[in-house]
Amino acid sequence: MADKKKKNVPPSAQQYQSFQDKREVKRPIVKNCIKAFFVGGFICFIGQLISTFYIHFFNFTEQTVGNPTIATLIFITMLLTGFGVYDRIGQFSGAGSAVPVTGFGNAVISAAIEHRTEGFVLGVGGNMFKLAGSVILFGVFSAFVVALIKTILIQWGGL
Amino acid sequence: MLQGHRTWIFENRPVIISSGTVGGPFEAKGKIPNDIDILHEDMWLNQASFEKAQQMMMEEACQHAIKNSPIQKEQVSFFIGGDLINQITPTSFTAKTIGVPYFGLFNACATSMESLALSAFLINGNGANYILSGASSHNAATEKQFRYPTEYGGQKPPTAQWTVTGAGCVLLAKEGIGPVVTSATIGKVVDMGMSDAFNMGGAMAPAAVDTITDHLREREIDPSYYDLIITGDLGHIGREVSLDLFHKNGVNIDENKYVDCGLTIYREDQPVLAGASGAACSTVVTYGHFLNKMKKGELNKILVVATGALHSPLSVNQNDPIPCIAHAVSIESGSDTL
Amino acid sequence: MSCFILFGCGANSNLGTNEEKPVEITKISSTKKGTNQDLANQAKDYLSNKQNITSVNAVNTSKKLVIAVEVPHHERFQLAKTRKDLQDELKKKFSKVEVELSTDQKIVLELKKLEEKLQKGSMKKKDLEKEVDDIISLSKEQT
Repeated sequence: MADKKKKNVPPSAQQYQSFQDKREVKRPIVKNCIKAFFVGGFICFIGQLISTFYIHFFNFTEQTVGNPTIATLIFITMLLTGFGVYDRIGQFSGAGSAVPVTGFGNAVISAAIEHRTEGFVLGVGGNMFKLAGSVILFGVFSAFVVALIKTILIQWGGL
Repeated sequence: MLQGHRTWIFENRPVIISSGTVGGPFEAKGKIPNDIDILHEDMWLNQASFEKAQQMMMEEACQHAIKNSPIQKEQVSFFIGGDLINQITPTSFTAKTIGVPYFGLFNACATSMESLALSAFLINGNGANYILSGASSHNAATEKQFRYPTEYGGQKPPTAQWTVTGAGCVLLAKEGIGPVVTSATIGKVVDMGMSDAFNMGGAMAPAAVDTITDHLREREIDPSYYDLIITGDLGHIGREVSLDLFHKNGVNIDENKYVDCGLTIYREDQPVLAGASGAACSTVVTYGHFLNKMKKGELNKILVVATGALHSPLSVNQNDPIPCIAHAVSIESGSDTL
Repeated sequence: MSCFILFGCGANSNLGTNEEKPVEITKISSTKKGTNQDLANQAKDYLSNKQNITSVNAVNTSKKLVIAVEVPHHERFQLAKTRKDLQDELKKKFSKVEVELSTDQKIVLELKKLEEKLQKGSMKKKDLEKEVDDIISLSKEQT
């Protein structure tokens, strides 16, 4: 990708880019991964606590407890986003807070808050899924493709 | 007037008779809160939107500059300014409020010096008596415009910069007491094919180097002529890269006399990553911090080089590189002769 | 609901001790007719002799037998297969009644509660049948 881009630019720019590259502060990938691992793990731990709570005190089984757990996590995310805490967690942990369902909730809620000033219909309604829309689209699409492959394999592959 | 290819010398010496700077809560916690005239503790400024808050700051800056000058608002010939929001509405709405003839500019974060250069040129050529020249930006409004929603928990790389919430403006006059604008070099758009919107400093450094090098050559002066060479918002990375480029090109710039507004406004422990940016960054720091220093006599000659990245979210998404520009304006103490 | 990342912990180092530990079961002796728990007790005996099962709870009525088992944590990756195998096995073994086997935490809890009630001996046949039906329908609930 980067090499492909570089072919289209004059040599002086190429030279500058490689020169600049040396000065550029790189993302600390290993450190970020470790932070993401622990924060992501901690969010999952909270999720597990919530689902255990629901199993013990409400009429949910392991099968059905997923939905209320996610709803609760998203509710917590909503509060954290509204009070301006979630973006700080996000800056610290990166993928750790972006990959769990709370990250998805944050993407929707932050966009909704951001565009509130433009009104409910065109602002909130039109922009709420600005970031999360592609997650939904490609999530549904990849689920469709996987289901298609599975169906084909089972029907004709004799698996 | 024109000296060399793209440098203006203002022999009629337009004077900065007053200035006004406004900052937000984050700036109030920064390194130079005492140099900012009006500080707000609320990002919203009691307005309905961040864009309106930005307009409010620009208005306050203009009013402050006029109030601190001997003239009345009606005597102002033009208002020249710009910002980063779509179609520069905060500045245009400010122009509506103050009700003076208006030029709207967009050069991203280089707008401040572009407007100062044009204002000085107009006054120098007897095109106006008094001009208000300024720029503004608002962190949340700019994030919304260029990046993600403010509260979105995405991780920014260490090369990212923090947009300043603030506004600044100066009142430029034909004569009066104050620092004078002596020359300006207009920048060329420099495109080094950089396409990372989270690394502005690295993209803008060549533009700054290009403008400063040409400015020094066309004015036939040495870098040591200036007490300080001030860049707009290169941040840590851009500053280092530009210093390296100067050394490579054989321009002898003293590291201690080469400062960056993006590294001046905030303290190191504030979570700003590579430094500050935004149209208000160079504006607030120059018109607040450095003009104050000139008034105190700590500085006599400064060269302010505001750098701007002329991309839009659209152009970045369409994989276009980020073209950059830098405008240089020299400000000298009034008592000095050219 | 795979919205969470699963981190598989490696195999337990104390695997041996797990297997040797006897499975905890409570056999219920109910003298009353209609709430007789012989079938459930048989199933508990049978399952507790198996490897890789840490607990068994079971309750039966005259027509239905509902069992909940727990497996060691690291064996949960094969949970679906284990469940199916055990269910098939028990269906063969107790072909006279309808057998329902679950590995769900909720069913374990519910059965424990029911066992306690039975132990007290205060249960009527009708109540037991209703409770067992409820548990079975709960175990079949899907999202």
